[in-house]
Amino acid sequence: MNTAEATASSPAQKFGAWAVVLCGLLLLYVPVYLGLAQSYWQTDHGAHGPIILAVTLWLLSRVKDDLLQLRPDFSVAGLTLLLAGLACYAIGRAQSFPQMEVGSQIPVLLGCVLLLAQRSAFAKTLFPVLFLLFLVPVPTTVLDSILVPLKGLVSWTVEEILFRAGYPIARSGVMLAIGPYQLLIADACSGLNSMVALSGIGLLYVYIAGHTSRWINIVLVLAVLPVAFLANILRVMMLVLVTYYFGSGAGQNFHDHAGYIEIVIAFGGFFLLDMLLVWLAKFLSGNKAAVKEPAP
Amino acid sequence: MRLQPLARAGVILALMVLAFAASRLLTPRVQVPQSPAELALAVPKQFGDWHEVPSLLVQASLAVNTDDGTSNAQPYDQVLLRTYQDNAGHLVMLALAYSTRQSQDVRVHKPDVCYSAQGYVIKASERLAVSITTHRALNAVPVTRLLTEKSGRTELVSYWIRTGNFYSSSGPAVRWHLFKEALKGRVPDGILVRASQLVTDTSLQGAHVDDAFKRQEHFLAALYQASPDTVKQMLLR
Repeated sequence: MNTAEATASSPAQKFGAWAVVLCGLLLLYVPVYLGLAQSYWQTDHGAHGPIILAVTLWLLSRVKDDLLQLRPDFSVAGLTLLLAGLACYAIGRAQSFPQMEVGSQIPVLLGCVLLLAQRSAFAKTLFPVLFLLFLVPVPTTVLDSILVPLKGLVSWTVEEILFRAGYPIARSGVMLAIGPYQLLIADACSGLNSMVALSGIGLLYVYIAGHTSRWINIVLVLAVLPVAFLANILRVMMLVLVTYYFGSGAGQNFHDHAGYIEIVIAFGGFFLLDMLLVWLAKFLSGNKAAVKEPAP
Repeated sequence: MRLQPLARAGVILALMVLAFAASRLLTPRVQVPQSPAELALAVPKQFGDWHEVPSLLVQASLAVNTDDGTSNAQPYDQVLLRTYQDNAGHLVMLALAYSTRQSQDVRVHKPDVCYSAQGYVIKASERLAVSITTHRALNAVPVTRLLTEKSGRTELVSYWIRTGNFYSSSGPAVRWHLFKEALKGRVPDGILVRASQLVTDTSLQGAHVDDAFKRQEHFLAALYQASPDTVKQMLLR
């Protein structure tokens, strides 16, 4: 085993090598992103795209020191990944297959990392690069098959809860009638968009918080979707109640301006869950050997 | 094998440039039939026993998410919605949705999905080969029959989806066909041909339902026979 994993390269070499690769990446993916900006990012379910990109770049910048330590030898795995990724790119681009086009970034980037940077860099770039999965457009057929049941579930849940709480609410399909008002649970209210965005935020949170306890991480990751779903239910319920008490004008106002409330609720809920789990871990281990938290 | 980092980076760049070039070279050109007909003008309004009547019936929408104004990329270049009546008074609704280019991203929507998204429950579905024309190569068209219901309204649907010269409504199968065509440099056109009827007879027993299905399929066959060649080419290939 080599003692020196990284080559003793000059800064010029390190930056130079990555600069060259960066040129290639820009050539390949700037057109892809321009395309996304004109299409997918304009839709409800794709609007979180720029944020994902920004977050990924930020996450990668955190590991740039590792990336700049270059490896001396050649990685066959890296070349294979790169070639596979480039093939996906070429086919995806030629065939107007956005999933392949956008998704190809993952093997391409990982391949480049394996080929250039020292071995330990790979594990560190895995999460940031995989985070790009949130950018890949969802095929419309898949989207439709999720939206319809989700809308139904949201309508049903909101109606059940408010009905049990004594409100005069009824439901027909995805139409809720409360008092004299009627509200249609549209696709935007299904919460799918926010569930995707919140899942991204949730995973990011788990990654950054960096708990060493594996089961805390597992519970948090599993909690991401339910927390997002609940946050959406709460938002729809609040919308219904605001309309009921203050009229449809107020309801419309709330609807237009309170999108962020859902994120606040979800993030808050997630944070609380995190604190609860940490407390629980300490409690269960009888305050001995407390769960070590590395500084984020 | 040792290769200086800068040289390695150079190789990576070269491969990327190759991939970029390949993506341009592999992009297929559009394949459009000689001159696609204007469906609204060319599809006969009267043929055999059938004649067009003003549409009093609301057809299930062809686009999928339209309830809040954000619709999926409308994939159709031409859409024709008409209601026809025969001499016995039966009403059949016709929907034709044509697009000059089908791609992995934008394809004709399956009625199974469209109808479900609009709140219809699909109670039964079967696929069978229907004879639309006597032309040997196109003789048995795979038609899908759907029995759908929404708040008391029962609708029988017969449809086929043509992508180039390939007939299937299965997503993966169509994608695979598009993939192969694109590698040959071709972008096929596509059409959804849909006929449907509302049935008020709520005893959904075999004979009535089967007759109704056959009626709308005979309607489609008669429509095909009576259409000019430019339209025939769009309906079947």
